[in-house]
Amino acid sequence: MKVPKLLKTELSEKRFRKKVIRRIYIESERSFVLELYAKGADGRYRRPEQLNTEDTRRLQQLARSIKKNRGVLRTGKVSLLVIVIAAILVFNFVFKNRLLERALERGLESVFSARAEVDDLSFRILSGRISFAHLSVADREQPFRNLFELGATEVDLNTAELLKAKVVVTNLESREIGWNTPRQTSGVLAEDGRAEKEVSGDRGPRKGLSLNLGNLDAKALVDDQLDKLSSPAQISALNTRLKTLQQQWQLTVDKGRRDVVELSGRIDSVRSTDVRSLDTVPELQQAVADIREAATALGQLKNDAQAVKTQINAGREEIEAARSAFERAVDADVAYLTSLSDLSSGELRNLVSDLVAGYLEQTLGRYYGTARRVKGYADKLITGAKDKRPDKSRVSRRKGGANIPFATVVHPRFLLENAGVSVAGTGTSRTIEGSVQNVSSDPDLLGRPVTFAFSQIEADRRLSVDGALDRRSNRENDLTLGVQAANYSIELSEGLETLGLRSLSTLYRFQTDFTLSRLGDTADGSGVLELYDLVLQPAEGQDMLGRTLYETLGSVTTVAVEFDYTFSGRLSKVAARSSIDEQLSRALKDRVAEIAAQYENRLREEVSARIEAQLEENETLYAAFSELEQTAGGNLADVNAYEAVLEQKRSEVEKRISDSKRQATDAVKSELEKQLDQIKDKVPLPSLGF
Amino acid sequence: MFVKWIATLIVAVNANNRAGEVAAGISFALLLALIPSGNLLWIVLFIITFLVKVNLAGELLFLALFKLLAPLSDGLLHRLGAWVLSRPFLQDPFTTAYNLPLLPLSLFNNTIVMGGLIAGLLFWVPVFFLFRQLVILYRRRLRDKIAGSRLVKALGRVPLVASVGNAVRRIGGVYLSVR
Repeated sequence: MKVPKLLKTELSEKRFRKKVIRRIYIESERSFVLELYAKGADGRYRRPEQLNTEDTRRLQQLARSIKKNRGVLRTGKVSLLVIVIAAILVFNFVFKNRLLERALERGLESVFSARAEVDDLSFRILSGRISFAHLSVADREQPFRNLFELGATEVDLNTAELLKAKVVVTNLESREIGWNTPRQTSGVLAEDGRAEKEVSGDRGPRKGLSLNLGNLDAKALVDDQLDKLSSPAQISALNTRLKTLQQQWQLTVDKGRRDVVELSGRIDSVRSTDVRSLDTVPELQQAVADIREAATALGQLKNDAQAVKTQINAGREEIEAARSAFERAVDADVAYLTSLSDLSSGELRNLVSDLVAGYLEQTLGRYYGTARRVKGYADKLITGAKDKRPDKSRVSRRKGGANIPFATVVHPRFLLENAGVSVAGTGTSRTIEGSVQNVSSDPDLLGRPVTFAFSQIEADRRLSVDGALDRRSNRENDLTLGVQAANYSIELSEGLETLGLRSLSTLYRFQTDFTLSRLGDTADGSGVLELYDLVLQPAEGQDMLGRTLYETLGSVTTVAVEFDYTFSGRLSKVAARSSIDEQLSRALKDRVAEIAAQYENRLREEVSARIEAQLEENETLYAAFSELEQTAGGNLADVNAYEAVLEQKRSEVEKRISDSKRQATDAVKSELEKQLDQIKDKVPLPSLGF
Repeated sequence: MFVKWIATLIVAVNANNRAGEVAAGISFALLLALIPSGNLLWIVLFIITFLVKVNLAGELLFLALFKLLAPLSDGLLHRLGAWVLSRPFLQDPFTTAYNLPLLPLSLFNNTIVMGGLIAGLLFWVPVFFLFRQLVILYRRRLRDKIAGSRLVKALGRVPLVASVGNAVRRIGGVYLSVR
């Protein structure tokens, strides 16, 4: 067993006092050491070389405690702290960038719900600067395209706020930016169950303009509105009435016919009577009786025929009125259908406006969709309650204390104060500048909306967009956006056939102010589209409309279109007014009338086609009714003829009787005169009773 | 736990170490007890006591004891802290400190935290010297008498105390010389 070096056999006085005695705090131990070491003549302290086991062990323990009493720091724990710091430094050099790169990717993926990639990220803690070579975020709607990507970018962080677990980006600068760029891999997140909709490639071709002339489908319109038309119901009612009248009078008229035919025998018999051959009184009496009897029957038949004729005439008048009403109903139906169609003078007067409105509806609709998506991204960025956790929850559980507030700037958990991108084209004339400010996870705390500005200049083409995205609780609008474009071109070759044009190309200046309302996802705005340098190619077989449009547009140098629009969900409404509306209106006036007339005829034909069966039935019924009417009229005519016959015969018989009477009278008179002379007043003459 | 701390404190008082270590442990215990926990200041102070040579057993034991009594002083600490925090000439330094990184996590702007810190610092020195002197007096006047007593010898043979002593010796390097 050895004695530690600290308590070796011989020690200098200074060392003995300073390194040994001074560090022994127990009186008994100090006495033990002082007894063991004896001071020599040279001033040095010496102890016996050979010590017993107990003293040796005691010295060992004493030496150990003396060593431990040196200094005020616990070397072991300080070493541990040093190791921890070293580990942090190693982490800083080896893993920090990789972990931060991953964290940034995860953060972007959570906001944009699509895959994000960050390459070559470098984080310098002390300077608070992050830089990366490339960043891309996929488009959730188009997995094989990037929503945007940034080239070499530097991000300045507020390190003080970083220590408060808040990411405050004071400035972000990128020298390259791109959007809607193709991706090699799908941008769908693994946990996103949505199907990958697009494989690759460009967007689908732009749809043709929706011009209302192209929508004039008379057949479809009549099919669609058939339930609301009155003419089909009226023709059915008319036919029903015709059938009823037909059934009502057919038997009566037929019976009258039969009676007339039956009477005709008697009439013929009367007619065939040779009155001159009636010489005797009985013959004359018989003839008179026959005529009287036939007259009686004829009188009854005439009354019946006249009554039938009168009522049938009334029915006919009713039918005629109903037919007139039906024709008016057809006119009314056609007018109604015409009013529903887009073909009206007003519609064509706004032909250019409609043409532009169709284009704007597509363009602004994309802006609207993008605005809603941006709003969704902003909502995901806002952390809500996390930021609003009061400091008090971190304070001690002890009551009674109070936090004294001092003036300070409280930042949200995430804040991007300014981000800028500036791309000056190398080899091209394209220059892009963009900036965004005040992107934060707590807009209410920040008290400012996100503002942004973007401009692109390429040759003589200029595009600038600026606006504010507001997610504060007291906001009025979610988004206000201003878009200005100049010297851009539109080239259209589809959807112009109905206008009689093959293609249209023009340069334009465009300006709009777009507002996305806080309530109901409704967007509205207004703007001006100014078209100039119009180039029109007429279509082959150009019709009057095409010629008119071609000539009118060709005669102006500039067309200014003012427009207002509203988007709500899937509904969109764009109202446009062009500077040549009136001019085009005048030019198209005749064409409008012609088209309207043609269309009206088409509608009338279509309506007629829908009630063709009823019309045919109506014609048949009407013809039958007319025939019935003719029959009734014929009956009455026959009766009248018979009456005339009887009247004639009556006259003949009366004349015959009168003649016979006169002859008889004359003969009797002669005879009487002759006999009177012989037998005056003895023979009475018979009375004939006429 | 408390038995261990008591035993270890007794061992420390009787061991060959500085009387100031035990006194500093108790002074730190008072300081940590007066400052509400759950803030960066308390954590930093606590870590410091682990890095410097103070008697941890004594510190933890007295911290537990003082913590029981500390709420009784909250009213006074609040008034003291509020008075300090509202001094006009200190507003600028406090505002600057409040805007510095990490410092607000110390919750120095809390009246009890500030009052506890001021009171703890004020009491630290007298408590240190008081307990240091008491330990010295004990060692000078009573230790040898008590060390020879049956009680201490019996205590030293208690397995629990022996094992705690060994553990403390291994971790903290406290010299055990109970004889």
